Amino acid sequence: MTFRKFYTASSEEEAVRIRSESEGRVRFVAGCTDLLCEDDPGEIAIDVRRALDYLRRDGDDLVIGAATRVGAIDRWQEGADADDGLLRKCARDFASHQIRNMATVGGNLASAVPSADFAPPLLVLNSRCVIAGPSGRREVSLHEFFTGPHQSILGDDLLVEIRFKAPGKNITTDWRKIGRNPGDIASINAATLLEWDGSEVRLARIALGAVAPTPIHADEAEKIITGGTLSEDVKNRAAVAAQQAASPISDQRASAEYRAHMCGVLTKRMLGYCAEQRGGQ
Amino acid sequence: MSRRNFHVVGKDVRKVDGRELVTGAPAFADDFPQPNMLYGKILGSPHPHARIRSIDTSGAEALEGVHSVLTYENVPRARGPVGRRADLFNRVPYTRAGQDYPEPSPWDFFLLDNKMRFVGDRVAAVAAETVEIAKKACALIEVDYEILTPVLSPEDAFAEGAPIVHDEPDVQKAEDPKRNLCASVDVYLRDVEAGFREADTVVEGSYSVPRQQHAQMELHIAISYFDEDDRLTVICATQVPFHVRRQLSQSLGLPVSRIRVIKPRVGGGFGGKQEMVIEDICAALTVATHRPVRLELDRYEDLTAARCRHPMKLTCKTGVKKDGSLTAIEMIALVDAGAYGSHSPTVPTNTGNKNLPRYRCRNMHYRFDAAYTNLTVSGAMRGYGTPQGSFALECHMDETAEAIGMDPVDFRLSCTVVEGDTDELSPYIYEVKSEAPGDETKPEDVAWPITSCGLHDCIQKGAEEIDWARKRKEFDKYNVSNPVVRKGIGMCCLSQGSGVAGIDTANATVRLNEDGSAILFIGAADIGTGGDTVIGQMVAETLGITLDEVTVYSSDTDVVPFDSGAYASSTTYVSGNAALKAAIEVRDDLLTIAAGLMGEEAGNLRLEDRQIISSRSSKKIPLRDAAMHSIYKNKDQIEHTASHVSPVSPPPFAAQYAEIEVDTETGEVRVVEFVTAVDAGTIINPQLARGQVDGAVSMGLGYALTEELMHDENGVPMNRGLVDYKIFKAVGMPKMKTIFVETYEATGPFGVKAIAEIPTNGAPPAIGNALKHALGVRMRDLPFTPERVLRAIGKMK
Amino acid sequence: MILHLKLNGKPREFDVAPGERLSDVLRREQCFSVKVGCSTGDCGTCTVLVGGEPIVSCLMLACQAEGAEVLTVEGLGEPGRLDTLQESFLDEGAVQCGFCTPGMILSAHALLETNPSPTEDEAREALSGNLCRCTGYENPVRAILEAGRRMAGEES
Repeated sequence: MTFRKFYTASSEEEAVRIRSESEGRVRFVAGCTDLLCEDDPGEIAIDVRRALDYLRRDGDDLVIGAATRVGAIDRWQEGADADDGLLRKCARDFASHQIRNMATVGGNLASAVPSADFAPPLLVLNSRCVIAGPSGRREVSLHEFFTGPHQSILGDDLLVEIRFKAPGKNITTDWRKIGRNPGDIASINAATLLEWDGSEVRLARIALGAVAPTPIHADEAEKIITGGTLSEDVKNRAAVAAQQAASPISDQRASAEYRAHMCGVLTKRMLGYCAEQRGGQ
Repeated sequence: MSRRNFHVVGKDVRKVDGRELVTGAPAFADDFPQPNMLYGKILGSPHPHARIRSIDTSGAEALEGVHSVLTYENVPRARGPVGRRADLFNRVPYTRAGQDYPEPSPWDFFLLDNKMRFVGDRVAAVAAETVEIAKKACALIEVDYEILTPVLSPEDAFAEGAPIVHDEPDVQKAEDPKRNLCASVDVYLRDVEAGFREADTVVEGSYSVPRQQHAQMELHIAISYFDEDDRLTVICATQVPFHVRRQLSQSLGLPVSRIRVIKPRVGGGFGGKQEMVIEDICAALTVATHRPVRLELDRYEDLTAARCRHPMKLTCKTGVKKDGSLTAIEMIALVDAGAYGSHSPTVPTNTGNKNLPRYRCRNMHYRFDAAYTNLTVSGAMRGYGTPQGSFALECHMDETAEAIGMDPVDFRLSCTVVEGDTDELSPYIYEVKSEAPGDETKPEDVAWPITSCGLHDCIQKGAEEIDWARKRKEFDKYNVSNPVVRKGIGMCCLSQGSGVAGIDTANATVRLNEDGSAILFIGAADIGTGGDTVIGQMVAETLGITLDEVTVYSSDTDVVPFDSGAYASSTTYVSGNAALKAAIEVRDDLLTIAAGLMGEEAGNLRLEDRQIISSRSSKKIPLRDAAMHSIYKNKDQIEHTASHVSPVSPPPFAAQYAEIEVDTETGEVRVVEFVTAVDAGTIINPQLARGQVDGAVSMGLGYALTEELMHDENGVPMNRGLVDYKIFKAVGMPKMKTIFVETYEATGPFGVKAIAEIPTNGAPPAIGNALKHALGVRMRDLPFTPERVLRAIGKMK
Repeated sequence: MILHLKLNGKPREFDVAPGERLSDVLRREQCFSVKVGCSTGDCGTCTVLVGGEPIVSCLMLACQAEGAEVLTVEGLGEPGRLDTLQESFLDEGAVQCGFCTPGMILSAHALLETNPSPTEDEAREALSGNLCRCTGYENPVRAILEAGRRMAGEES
């Protein structure tokens, strides 16, 4: 069934107000690329694209409006300079041109599918979500955002923007995705951010998608890496830890065994790539 | 007719339907909505095997905007010459397989039935004012099902005490439905056991292939209505308009004279539309409501409840001598027909007889058993059974070469057919099938001579193009160091057919206008392949005019003469022959008139560049003069209709080569380069022919690597749409090269054979053989997914 | 609701329902070049350009296109005269069944607007959201490159 009412909100406040005044099943909509694939998306649509389509810098923070399209992330030089090209890589792998011109970063997160491509990169960037509801704004770490497949803490509230502190210069990042063909929905996706102190890893973040009910951090792997050099042994142990962090399911895209196995392979590859990039500097 | 310098044939001319397609002009079935049109929707069964105890449609019928809800309890049967009145009950067994009458396929289907045989089987059909209302109405239909144990594999189907998929008493022509046996063949050429004893080495291998789906871009769609004379008209995306008309008549009880089927442009078929997937139920809704009805499957229904390529498990066994000569070949296939037997007697027959005969071997055994299961219905798909056999046999032949220490290319050259050899198996299978007990035809009595064969040229030219000898050695050396990404190169050889011998019938009418231009009426159904263009080129060539001067009319059963339809790679070879015959008759009439006008003998005249030229006196007159004379002086427009049926089906041949890289950590396979060398006789339009090869290869690549229609352990399809059914994209395609090895097939118009199907067959075995080269292990199951690669090399359990 | 569009260069107004998809509205308004092959954004046959960018019109609510410039294949070329891409698609044999063709042409059009002489890889990338089961993409890619060359020739 389909929407019987459609509103365009010009501001965050207006979007929240329309929602609180509407009766029935209300959805905030932007790119619609997930939403219109649902059998029964809802009764009332509030389009937030006009209000939430922006990329900016706010002090130390980089800010992505929730309705920023994936294609815009690809073209976002300030972001690429800050995150060592991480989000741009993710954007380019995201889907077809057409979908990249429609789908939004906020929508990708709000759909809360375990395979959401932007989740791992934004997790390793230690992002926060700004959420608005009738009682005002709140900020929640992205780590706490996902609660299960298609489930998040959003409830009826609006995801306004995603913020992360621009990492320092001493970082290297990487993004990996395995699908069955280019631009596919991920069977497994993964991101890594390493902050270096000389040849030692001062801080490590590794996030994995489509291998658990929500996108996850490979905590143990991060611990193994932090505070030392990236020796072959460290990489191997981190890969094993990443594999153990996964609790995947088997579906039409990949088996649980393959997904878990790939967590190890991709982790090792990302670490290898980051070390190589670091070495090359 | 021999080779000469052609003016239109052999040239890259634009497609006759190209302009309407690049401008997006109304051309496809959905572009012709009718006034007061209703929208149809099928309620599909949620269970793979169930019986309807009771069905309550009152809620759906009460919904505003709903005009008809059909179930097995009120299937309409149109009565008498006028479709307006309908009886309320109709149970007629028929097949929806688009084949010549009498169809080899069993009559095991009913417009609507109380038994559900797969997930998506027809429970009910609704016609309503909008699609939304029709969907809502479907949701309001209450069904009480008696759930039956589903049969989910051929092994289950043939097991003792298995549930019976077709237990209805009125099923016809299925081989042994009580045993779930839909169809089978078991045929021997001479003595394979003796052949195995004679061999130096006997090689055996097993292989499996999954369900592949056509995934044509245009969904199954039909628009049906009663015209102003109360004749049922169906505009539909079909490859077989005349079979649809006949089967509509059978299923609805309307005489053929009251039915018109129009095939507009079709957005891809690939065999999926060689089947009346929805036209019958759409028309039934029109009969019930007497309103125009549009019915289109959605992509999920199209993937899972239309047709697919037959999944099979195959074993091959070959006796070989050290010199590479073959003493016996055996192929045995266990076939999953799915819930209905569409094309199941014929598709698996091809699995053997379009593959085995390209090897020179006196002793052969081919057997298949096709089982009814409660899964998606198998049917016709590009290659029609051949790709399954090609995968098994060509992997197997590489294993055979390896067993005697021969290079795969040298081995193929030592044991494949050449011009002058014969195909005994194909005609013999049909002979044995139709024989009365006690008759004893010998294979050599019925053998078809192979009158044109460029296979060895294909093998050699393909090898040169991809640089086989060098890469084969170089990759061996490269892989020794055990790199993460390994390299491999593999090949295979292939054969197919050109139409169905003795069955496929085509008719064409060529009508000459007064200016020398012509109108060509053909029943052949161009489904995007360029058939209209290629046949138009033949007519233009024959009449000495340009393709622009030929108007091609296809395919409307009220207007064009009968044609079996677009399948079995038959359009150019069979329908082309009918058109050529008609064009030659028109030409001969023209020359007779011209002879009178020019005072020459017709035998000395020829048509060229809109002129009639005497080869004796080099006198010439414009073609137009003779055409004008026929209409305005003789008062007799020149028009001829000709028929063609071919007693043989000359095989096109091909060799395909794949170079690959395989990541031994992720299991991902990348095809770097793909070469096709194909002998399809004369090539009428190289650009379109290359397009056929390119498209066929991409379909083969998908079959090899990414495509699989899956069902879960409860028989429920797992692919929700194209998001879960992965066909190749523009990115990810290998570097492609096609080489035409032209031969001259004397039985084909201008020396043609078929091209459309054969290039589909080779990617799976060529890649399988390349994987063996790269990894040192033989992978036996399609598709070669990353995880299967990792399992094969022992990196994952 | 009344939807205001600049459709193929002309200001138009359409009465649309809030839940209607742009693809359905365009087809209803006789833009038959807009095909619907899946309704889930996977096949790309419904590709149109909104503000010059290719999108899949099956996943855009018609209301969301309010005020936008929308281009379909009907807006290419002139009456009786095909545009360069349409010509090159015909010349290079890039059309088989033709169902994916309008979407491909629009994706290619958007590419050539921003990148008049693309590489083969860029042409492939631009077509990556337009599935085709007939051509194997070879001839369409060739057609895009050829159109780029012809446009460059016309300008110089």
